[in-house]
Amino acid sequence: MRAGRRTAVARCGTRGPGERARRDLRQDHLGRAVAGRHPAGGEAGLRVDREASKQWKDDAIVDGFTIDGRPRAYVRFITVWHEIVNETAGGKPIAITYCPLTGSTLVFSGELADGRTTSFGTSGMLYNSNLVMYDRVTKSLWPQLFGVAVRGERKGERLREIGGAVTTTLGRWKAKFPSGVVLSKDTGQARAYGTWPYGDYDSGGTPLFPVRYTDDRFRAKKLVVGVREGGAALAIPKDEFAQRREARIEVGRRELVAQYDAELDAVRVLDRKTLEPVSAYNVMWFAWYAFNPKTEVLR
Amino acid sequence: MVAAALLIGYGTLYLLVAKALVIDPAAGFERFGPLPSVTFAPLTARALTGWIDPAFVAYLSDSVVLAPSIPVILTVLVLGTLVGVNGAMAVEATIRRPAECAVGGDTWWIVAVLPSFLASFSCCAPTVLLLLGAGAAGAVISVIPFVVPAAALLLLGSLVWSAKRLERTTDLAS
Repeated sequence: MRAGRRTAVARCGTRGPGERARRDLRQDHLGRAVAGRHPAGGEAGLRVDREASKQWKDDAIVDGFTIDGRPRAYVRFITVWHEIVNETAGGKPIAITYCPLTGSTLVFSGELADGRTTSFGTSGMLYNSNLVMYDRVTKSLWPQLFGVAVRGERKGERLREIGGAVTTTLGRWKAKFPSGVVLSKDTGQARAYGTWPYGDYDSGGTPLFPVRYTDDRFRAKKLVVGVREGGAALAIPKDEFAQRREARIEVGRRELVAQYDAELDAVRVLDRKTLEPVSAYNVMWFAWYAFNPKTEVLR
Repeated sequence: MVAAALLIGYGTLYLLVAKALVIDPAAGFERFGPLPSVTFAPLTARALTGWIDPAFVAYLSDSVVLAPSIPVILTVLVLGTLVGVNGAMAVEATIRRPAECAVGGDTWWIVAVLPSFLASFSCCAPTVLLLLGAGAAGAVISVIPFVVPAAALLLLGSLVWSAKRLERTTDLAS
């Protein structure tokens, strides 16, 4: 492990309702301004729809999870441009967040610890090359992979993650959950859907922006499944684990079981006692390590 | 005609570099509906000033999409016109030039056209980052907001210079 010499905070984009919070971050000299191609804010008009599953081909990459008994899938063609989808599930607000620079999708509850509910927007900033969200109630800043507010009224507070999200193809997802809802392509917004803002960034090379800690055990953008419990972190190299199929693991003294789901080509992590899914998500190795330098790796 | 050709050529190149025009045979844009199709963005202050917020998205075929923002459209029109007029004057000066002036000094037109290509950096920060890496790009990115105005000024300057040169060449020829 070594600490990066450069700052780990960068500003990406120039506008957005989180402007005041972004100014605070700049004034604290945590980072320097760097222009980028992230559109800030605005995900209005995004919605899931039962019929929308017919709009897409089976090869579309989706992030899927089940909440309140209803499977939901979010197509990356859309989320790569908006990064956050605010929705209501079972009468409660949730936010589906995707950071294309770290390849991570996390689902958060929109309920703050004090009971207030909120939606989230993209601040236009990055921390460890990762999406920094802001909540629309307090304008606090929340790095997605940290899940903890780093600036603003809610500083230090952790968002509640909703577990069970996996990344797969729509064809696989529909085969397993035929009655689910899917993110509609009718967003009402003018975006060049079908193009990728960062080109072939996913396929290799180094991160675009500085990160605080680096480690060369794996190539930077190798996908691992990250699990964080009780202050401990575990990375599960996805491709290798597909051969192993199942492992009993303990993370932060919580007894878990990791399972490879061949139908979805995804790794799920469940509580060993309740069999409830815990938050475990695909993430690029460099980003996982940058946020969790003491992580263990499942071999 | 030279000016128009240069405007089209420069505009196309700029749009490609800025990723406002994407040509990708594997894209499969028909998945987003019948082609061709155009979607316009609502006219807002953000739409008027945002370099990366398209004013419209036009899926022209299964592999071609055009999605320029208003600043990109204006840049293409202004700089493309200046490049075109500069180029046209260069061609005209060459045609009118007396034979005895043909030796040497033929590189001045580069000065007229080169600045505009600098402007291509104004809206392709990710490309710059990919090429240079984050460290080196930091220095480059800090000057990006000034590149388009600087290119426009340089082109205007070269236009005035070219006009004077053309006038002098015409006098000599006559």
